[in-house]
Amino acid sequence: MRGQSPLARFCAAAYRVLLHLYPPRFRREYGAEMAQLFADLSRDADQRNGTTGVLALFVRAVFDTLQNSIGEWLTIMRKHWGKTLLTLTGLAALGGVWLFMFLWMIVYSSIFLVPWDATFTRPPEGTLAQLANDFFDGPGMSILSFVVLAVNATLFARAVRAGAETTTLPWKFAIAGVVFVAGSFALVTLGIQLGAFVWPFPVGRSDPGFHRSLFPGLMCLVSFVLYLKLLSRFARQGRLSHDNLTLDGAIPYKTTSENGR
Amino acid sequence: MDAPTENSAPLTPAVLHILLALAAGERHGYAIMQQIRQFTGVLFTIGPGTLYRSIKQMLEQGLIAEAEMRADPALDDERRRYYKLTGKGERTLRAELARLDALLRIARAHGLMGDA
Repeated sequence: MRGQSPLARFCAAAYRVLLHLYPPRFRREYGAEMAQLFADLSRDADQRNGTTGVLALFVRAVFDTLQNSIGEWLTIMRKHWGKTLLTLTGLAALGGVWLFMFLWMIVYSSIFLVPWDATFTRPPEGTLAQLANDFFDGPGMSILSFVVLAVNATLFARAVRAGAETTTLPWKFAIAGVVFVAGSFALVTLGIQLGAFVWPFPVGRSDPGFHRSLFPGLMCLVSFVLYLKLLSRFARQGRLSHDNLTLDGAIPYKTTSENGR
Repeated sequence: MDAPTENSAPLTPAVLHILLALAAGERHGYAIMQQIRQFTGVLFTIGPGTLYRSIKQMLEQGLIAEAEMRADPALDDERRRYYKLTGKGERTLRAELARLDALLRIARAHGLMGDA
């Protein structure tokens, strides 16, 4: 690397590390060339614009790497849908863990907390127990439930979307996603109602568990609607058919001679 | 006949520029980027990731082929992999350029180019 500044050398070294974001096979095939190319580009940028040029090149290269490494991973998943299926199953299992945690909080909130609350003595002021009590007995539960639900729904939606783009089983994943979200909502509602039926609240006492559960329940419904909209958009774009999928979502290249045959 | 048909599909900008850069002869990755810069200035730039993902895709589709590994005397002594256009790549490029030319003619006919 002739005539390179320390910054350019540092960025070139950092770029070689970034290359590890690519799938191993792609990195083995093109990693050395890409590192060499970046070193050439950083030398040019250094000569033209100095430090600013090198930094700007590096920032662009970071985004370029993020975008293309994700794209390359998706390409591999599309070609090896069996492995993708395993990955998505793992993701779905992870989603299931989140669902379990979400339901646990809802059930805990709507069923177990209420009778406990009836005889609960507030911890002494200023103690950690009192702070924890205030958090879980107040809006903290709703916020926490919503965060868990949001992460859960996002995770699963992404898994389903990846499935739609990378496997030959897009519709199965799409249907699984709908069933998952609708099932979440149904279970939450059922849990709340069951809790109210089994452990009726004392007369004259409001139902804190129900109110705490209402917000996440509504969010669940909203996510269900949003999910349906996402599926609808994919269907309109024809992205739920594996035959229409190619690299980067582009239409396959066809030469005139090929088209004519 | 290289005129695009209704089934022809547009190439991505990166693929089109790489094909154009290779139309003049064999080039390695850095030379391809230099050629693209020469064509477009700062109007169109691609990063190393985009370049080599496109190259990989084009190799798989038979649009380009690998040439020999050799050093570029203008740069350094490091050996570089050169790429060249294939017959299919050239036909695809011609079809795409014809498609773009047809689009430009339509644009000119509608006075959108300022020189109709």
